[in-house]
Formats: sequence, structure tokens, C-alpha cells
Amino acid sequence: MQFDQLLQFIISGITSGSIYALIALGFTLIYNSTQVINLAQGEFVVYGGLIAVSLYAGAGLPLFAAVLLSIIIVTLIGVVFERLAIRPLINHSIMTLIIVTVGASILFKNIAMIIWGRDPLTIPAFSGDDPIMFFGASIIPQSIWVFGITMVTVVLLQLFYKKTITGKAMKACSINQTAAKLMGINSSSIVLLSFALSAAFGAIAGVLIAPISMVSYSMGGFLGLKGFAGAVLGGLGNPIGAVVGGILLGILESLSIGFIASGYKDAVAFLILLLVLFLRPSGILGARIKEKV
Amino acid sequence: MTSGRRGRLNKQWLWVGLYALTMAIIPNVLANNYYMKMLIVLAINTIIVIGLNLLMGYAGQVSLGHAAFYGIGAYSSAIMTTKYGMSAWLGIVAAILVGGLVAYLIAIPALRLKGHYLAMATLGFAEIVHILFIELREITGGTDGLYGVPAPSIAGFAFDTPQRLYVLVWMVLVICLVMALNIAKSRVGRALRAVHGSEIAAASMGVDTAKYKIQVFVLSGILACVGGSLYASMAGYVSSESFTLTVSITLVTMAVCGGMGNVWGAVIGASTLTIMQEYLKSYNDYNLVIFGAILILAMVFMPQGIYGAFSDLAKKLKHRLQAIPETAGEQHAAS
Amino acid sequence: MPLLEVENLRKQFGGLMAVDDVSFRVHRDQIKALIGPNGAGKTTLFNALTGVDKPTSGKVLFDGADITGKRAHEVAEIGIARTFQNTQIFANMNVLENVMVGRHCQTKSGIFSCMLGLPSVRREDLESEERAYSLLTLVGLEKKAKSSSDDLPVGERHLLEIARALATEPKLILLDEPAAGLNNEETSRLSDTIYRIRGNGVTVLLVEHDMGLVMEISDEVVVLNFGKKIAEGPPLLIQQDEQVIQAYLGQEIEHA
Ligand SMILES: Nc1ncnc2c1ncn2[C@@H]1O[C@H](COP(=O)(O)OP(=O)(O)OP(=O)(O)O)[C@@H](O)[C@H]1O
Ligand SMILES: [Mg+2]
Repeated sequence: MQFDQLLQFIISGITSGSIYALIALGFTLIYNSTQVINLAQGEFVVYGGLIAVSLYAGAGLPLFAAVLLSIIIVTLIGVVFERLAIRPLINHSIMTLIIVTVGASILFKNIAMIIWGRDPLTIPAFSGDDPIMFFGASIIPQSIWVFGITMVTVVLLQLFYKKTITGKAMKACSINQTAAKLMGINSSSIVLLSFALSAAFGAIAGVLIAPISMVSYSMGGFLGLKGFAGAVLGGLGNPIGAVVGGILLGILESLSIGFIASGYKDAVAFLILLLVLFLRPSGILGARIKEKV
Repeated sequence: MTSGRRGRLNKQWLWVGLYALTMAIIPNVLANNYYMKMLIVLAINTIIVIGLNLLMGYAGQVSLGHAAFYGIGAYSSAIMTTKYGMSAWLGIVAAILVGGLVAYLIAIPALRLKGHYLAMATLGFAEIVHILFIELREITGGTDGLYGVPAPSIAGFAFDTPQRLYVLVWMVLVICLVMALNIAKSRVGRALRAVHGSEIAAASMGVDTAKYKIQVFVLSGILACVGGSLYASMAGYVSSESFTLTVSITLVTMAVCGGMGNVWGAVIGASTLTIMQEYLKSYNDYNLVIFGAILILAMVFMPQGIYGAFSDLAKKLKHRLQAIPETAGEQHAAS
Repeated sequence: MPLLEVENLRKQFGGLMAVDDVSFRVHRDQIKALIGPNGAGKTTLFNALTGVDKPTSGKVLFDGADITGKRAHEVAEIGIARTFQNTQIFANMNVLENVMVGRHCQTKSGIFSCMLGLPSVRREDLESEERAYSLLTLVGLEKKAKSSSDDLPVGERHLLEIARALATEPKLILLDEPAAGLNNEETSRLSDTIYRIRGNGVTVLLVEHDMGLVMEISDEVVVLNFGKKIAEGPPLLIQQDEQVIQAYLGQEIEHA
């Protein structure tokens, strides 16, 4: 394989990996505040994309207004979901909560099918479709948007953790919930915030990817799965790990298309995931936690 | 107090008899092929969820990959019978051997993982298996699947109509139920629950935690294979679509909704959800919207699952009735 | 031959030597206490002895055989049982079933015979149940046999753990702060229980902060401080030991 080809695969890997990273971040935030794996995470992506389509093509809003409004609406959906379905069960077993998120993902997905139909929909790329050449590989501008916005989101999240009281409280909660509670941190508003942020991150991923790969009601499950895999690969609970894991997964997947028959592309990604888990049972950047007796 | 325990055990076998009888009578009432097939699927789901409940509810080990074993069972049967001309019985045996072996090999590394990492590993494993079902075209028939899976027959009697096959499935179901109940109340059942309760304490009591985790994983894998094998016989064909992640998640949902940590919870969960899914199909596009909503509501109002909700209710009623507090202990006992 | 010999045991966590070159012996039918200020390394030592954690270096001999690095369930089978400072009750089982888990070592039915519900399984089960019940009587929890174990107060959790550990029919039992959460009356009942355990031929190694209890019941005391053994001997001598007094005084000053 030639260098420019390799580069091309890596670039497309980074693009899809950035999307996985945003989804993985969503998983991580909710996991850190509740220990729950939110299996409806991928639906936030779908709604982000589809609502933007409706606002742009349907309501005729300018592209950036449509995108922004869509993210806000999905954030609110996340808030409502937390209030109605998660809050009442917060003291019950994790498994119960996970099944609630399964129910939610089925519900969201099929409502989306009724509203938007089965065909994939799209919005225009944020700044045109003319590819940029880079060492023999061509980059579409939307890819730069995807990677750039993902990085900005990650940096903002880190600043939020480090600089704001709420962010610090959120971090404290993720390290030790009981201790955080003793220190007077209101963990229930932290949970709400984590759902809001996760939904927002999902929606951001949705509006970013819509111009490249289109959005259809049914892609939430598969995107959620990749995001979950990325989060686990990096070490569940570690936001930086989520980003690294997501992007790594994207690159591996893309390279395996280049080297192996494309039918096996997903198999390779999962095989690597299994190997990482078996060799490092808590992910690449995960801490090894031991129970004290 | 020993006699009290015996009394409870006998009551359990009474329930088994009642359940077996009900499941035997239903087909006589609903004698049409459509309902028969649904009933077979219900019984197969129950078999699988019983295994999953032993794994998740008792031993506390999550699997998001049981569709893989379901599929391995179905494909092993189909391949052995259609490609190698074996009898359907040998197909089932092959399914158990292949599935058991695969479960064992994956269990060794996977069960060192905990919680969500285990969930992800089983999920990843199932995705790989699913892709292999599609890509290994020569042996699995690729996206077309395999056709012409024969029904088992014994001494000239073929279980080749849904009514007849149901007899076989019913027998397997009752056997699995009895075996699971036996395990649940035994030394091994306690060891499994101990692993769930505290792995460190279980090990310090002499429980070889790794061994039991592997054993119960293999057992649940085999039950799923048996289910898959029976499914192949019923449908007459297998295709990869029947063994997706959605199926794995549905099975887990059945286990959780029924109530974890109790074999009857598995029976209730698999039955209720199978019937509900079938019934909702008439709502077309709204089918899954309603299903998702019911799932959420069920969890909000019955977080311990249906079995848990009813045993709580029964306990409360008993509490009310026993105005005179006898021994405080007895009232907690049922949990 | 002593029942338990600990030789130059070390356990390191990163830069911290939680147990540092500790050696001592426990003789048959002794009640031996292991004391030391918070964080001295007592629990860590227990974990290293019972296979919960692997020691960094050193040796553990039990009944003359080297058991260093054996896994927890093997150690239990050999005859060492323990309780936990942060109690590890099986919350998904009732009190009696918790103790029956302790019978695991003493029973043999495998998954197949259990599945088939063979008569031998039933016989074993009844035996286990009876033995478990009598152990609950020993610690005074027989009335709660069928209660949910999750509802027990801390003190009773420790008692349940003792019964559960005894169900393994150990030669040596390690108790990690069993008096935590007990009031005075309950503590004195605990000391009776410990005497009775020893009376049944089980050697006792006890970690405890209640000095009254330690001085009353133990034949010998080992003192740890910052992972190191600083004293060993009969209670009366330990009470007067300069270094021990210093170690505990130091702790009080820190606390103030
Ligand atoms: N898993 C671990 N990882 C890192 N450090 C540990 C770990 N377990 C214990 N430690 C440290 O080792 C030291 C000894 O702890 P240990 O729990 O053995 O003390 P202890 O004597 O039992 O104290 P206490 O009386 O409070 O129970 C402490 O400084 C503790 O913080
Ligand atoms: Mg301690």
C-alpha cells in the first residue's frame, strides 16, 4: 500500500473515530455519574442529525442556526429522559437502569422512523465540498470540522472539569460518589447534568456526521455500539481514554478496510477490542480498581 | 425447621407440575399453526433465559452475547444435517458440543473481566460470530442462510409439524426448568450466588470462583445452543438475521423484566415478553414504540422485575394477614 | 510444630511497604492477637495470609507446609478461614444460606449431581443446613436464620461472618475487628464465643482495636506499626512495652 493511500485511510479513520469519541464521551459522563451504560446514546446522535435536517430543509432555518437549535433540543430530550425514566430508579440496580435505556432506545428509534421515515436524510456540509489535498490524500472540509469540533469539545470539557465548581463536583462524584455526597455535592443534579451533556455530545456528533454519511433512524444502535467499544477500549470512566479509544477504533476500522476484505471490517475492530480487554482488563487508560476488605 | 424447608421444596415441585400441565394444555386450546409456532418460540426463549438467569441473576455475570450461542446452536444443527446428512438428533448433540466448547474457550479469558467490561467482551464476541455467520459463505450460506433443516424423528415418528415439535420442545423445557431449579437450591447454586454477593468472601469460603463462573457460562451457552438447535428444526432454515445484538439484548431484557436471581423470573419474563412482542405486531409501525414504552414503564414500576413485584406484593399481603407478628424472621424469609 | 509460621513477610503497594518484614508464629489452640494503630498493616497481613492478595516476598507455613501464594479458595480448603473488617455478607442470600456457603469446603456435589438432584446432594444439603444452624446458635443468630442478611446491623454482620467462617471447619480462624459495632454486653458475649471456638479446637488469630477484649482473651499479642512488627509477647508485657505505648500515643497525638 502506498503512503498516500495509507494516509487516506487514516484520515477517514480519524473522522469516524472522532464521531465515536464524542459518543464514547457521552457514555463516560453518564457512566461516571450513575455507573449506567446508556444504551440509548446512539439515538441522541440520530436525533441531532434528523432534527437539524427538519430545521434546515423543513423550517428553512440557516444551516448554523438549525445545527445549534438541534443540539439544544436534543439536550432537552436528554434532560426529560433523565427526569422521567432515570431519576425514579436511581437507587435501583444498575441492570434495571440499563434495561430502561434499552427501552428508551427502542422507543426513540421507532418514533424517529414514524417522524422521518426510513430513508437516510442529509444536510449540506458546513463549508462546501471541495476537497483539500494533503500529501497526496484528499480531505473533505467536513472532516476537518468533525475533528476540530471534537477536539474543541474535549478541551472545553477538560476546562469545565478543572475550572468550574460544578465541573470539579462532577469529577469528585465520578471518583467517589459516597464521599462526594458527604461533602455536600448534590449528586442528583450532577446526574441530570451528565445526561444533558451526553445528549449534547451525541447531537454534536449527529450534526457533524450528517453531511458526510447521511442520517437514518436506524443507525443509532450501531453508532452507540462503536462508541461503547471506544469508551471501553480507552478505559471506561476516563474521558481522555474515551477520546483516545474512540479515535483509535476509527483508525483501526478504517485500516482494516484497506488491508482485509471489507466484510470483516467490523470483526477486526471487535477482535482488537477483545484482545485489548483480555490483555488489559480495564482498558488502555483505565485504572485498576481493587475493592478494600 | 427442617420440615419447613421440605414443605417449601414440595410446593416448588407443585408449581413445576402446574406449569408443565398448563404448557401441555395450551396447544389443545389454541390448535392452529400460528399459535403453535409462537408457543415453540416462547418455550425456546424460556429455555435460553433460564440459562441466562443462572448466569446473570445468580452468578452476577453479564452477557450481551447470548445470541451468538443461540446462533451457533442453530447453525451447527443446520450444517450437520444439511451438509453432512446427519440426523437431527446428532445435530442437537453437535450443537451442544460445539456451543459448549466455544463457550468454554471464550469464558476462560472473558470471565476474568468484570461488569461492563465483561458485557463488552461478550458483545464483541457475539458481533464477531455474527459476522462469521455472514462471511463464511461456504459453510453458512452467507446472507441466504441454510435451508432444509430436517425435524428430529424417533422410531418413525417425526416431530415435523409444529404440534409434534412442540411435544419435544415442551419436554426439553420441563427438563431444563427442573435442572435449573435443582441447581438453584443446591451447593452450586449457593456458590454462584456467593460469587455474585462478594467474590472475595466466596473465595475465602473455598469457592473456586473462576471455576464456577466458567461452569455457569458454559451451561448457559449450552442452553442457548439447545434453543438454537430446536429453532432450526422448527423454522427449517437458519439465517444470520435471527442472531443479532438486538436478540442478545432482548434475551437480557426478558431475564431482567421477569426478575433476576429466581428461576421462575426467567419463565415469567420470557413468556410475557414473547407474547407481548407477538401481540404488538398488529400495531405495525407503532409496535416497537409501544414495546419500548412498556419496557420503560415496567422497569419504573417494577424495578425488581415481575417476579420481584409479585413476591413483594405477596409478602405485604401476608404481613397484613398475620396481624400477630409471629417470628420476625419468617416474614423476611421469602426474599 | 507451630500451626502458622509467618516468615519475613512483605507486602508493597507502590511506594508503600504496608507489611514490612514481619515474622511470627501462632501455636495450636492459642488465641493470638494482632494489634496496631490504624493503617499499621493488619488487614493487609490477613489478605496476604489468606490468598486474597499475593505477598511481595516472604513465606507462610501452615501445619509445616508452604502455602505462600496459594489462591484464596485453596487456603480455605487447607483450613484457614477468615472474617472481613468491611463485612462481606452475601446480601442476596438469607442468614442461614450465608453460613451454608461456608460449608462449601466440606461438601463435594458437582454441578451435574446438583442438576440431577441426586439423593446424595439432598443428604449433603440437609447436613449443611443442620451444621449451619448450630453455628448460628453458637454466635447467637439462630433466631434470624431466615432473615434477609442485608438487614443485619454491623455488629451482627461480624457475628454472621464468624459463623460462616467456622462452617468451613477451619483449623485456624482469622478475625478482623469482630467487635466493631458491638456494645459492651455484646462484646463480652463475643469473648465467650471466641473462647468456645478455641474450646472446639480452632486456633484464633484476632485483629482488634478493643484493648479490653484483646488483653482479656489473648494468650499472646503481636504489635504492628507502619508495617513493622514492634513487639510480641503476653498481654501484660505488651501493655508496658515502651515502643508500643509510643506507637499508640503517637496515634493519639495525631488524632488530636
Ligand atoms: N489495595 C491497596 N492499595 C494501596 N494501599 C493499600 C491497599 N490496601 C491497604 N493499603 C495501605 O496499606 C496500609 C495498611 O493498611 P491496612 O488496611 O492493612 O491497615 P490496618 O492495620 O488494617 O488498619 P485499620 O486498623 O484501620 O484497619 C495503609 O496505609 C493503607 O492505606
Ligand atoms: Mg484493617
